Amino acid sequence: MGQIKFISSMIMIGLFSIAIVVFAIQFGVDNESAVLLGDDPEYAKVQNNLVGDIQTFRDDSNSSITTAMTSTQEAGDQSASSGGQFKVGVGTAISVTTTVITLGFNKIFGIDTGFGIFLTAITSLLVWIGGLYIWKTIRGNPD
Amino acid sequence: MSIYNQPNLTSGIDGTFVEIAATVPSFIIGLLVFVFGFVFITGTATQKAKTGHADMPMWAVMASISTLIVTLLLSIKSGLINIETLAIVISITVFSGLWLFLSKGRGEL
Repeated sequence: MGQIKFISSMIMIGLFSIAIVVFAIQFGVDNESAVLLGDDPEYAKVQNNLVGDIQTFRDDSNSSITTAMTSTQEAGDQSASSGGQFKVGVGTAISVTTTVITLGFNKIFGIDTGFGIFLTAITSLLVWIGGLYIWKTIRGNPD
Repeated sequence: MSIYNQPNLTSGIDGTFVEIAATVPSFIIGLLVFVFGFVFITGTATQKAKTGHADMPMWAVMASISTLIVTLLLSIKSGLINIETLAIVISITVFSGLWLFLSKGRGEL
């Protein structure tokens, strides 16, 4: 799984989650259900957070690709010493996924549970993989 | 003496389900687990028998969405499920999607 696949997976997870939550909320509204998912304020809040993260990802991507396309390199220049353009998307994409994981985890296991360490481990692993991909893109294969 | 009071079967299938759920609270949970297990186990077993490989993340998503649809239908009438059950089904569906999207290698899906 390369960086493109990794970021794509994160964004797809966010879009899938938004689609499922919005469908469930709107199904209840359309059919005047007795049990409305919209009555749970956490879902509406998370939906807004996910949409915000996706919009940030769009803005960052547009800004980064514009900078990359307008930049120039002279012969002998060091290329991508900061790697800023490769970092775009990783932060927001991982934020999308950790938001989804946190919501699901809290709903299934409850808040303040001893299983919280698993949430910490998964989030840390995603951040570590993202960092490694940035390094790999700038410096080559880290293996 | 009967173990439980039989539901009134003349009030419609939804009324029967509500009466059963009131008498046996775990009935609806069992029904949802059955739907998930039925789709997941039969799907993976059939695919493995035909192709030699079972795509478990994909069947988890299929089973989760099937369960979600049944849950949403049950949420229309009061007395069948509560919002905690609906939230857990949504969470399991989202986790199944997460498993699917993170499980594929380069070039797949």
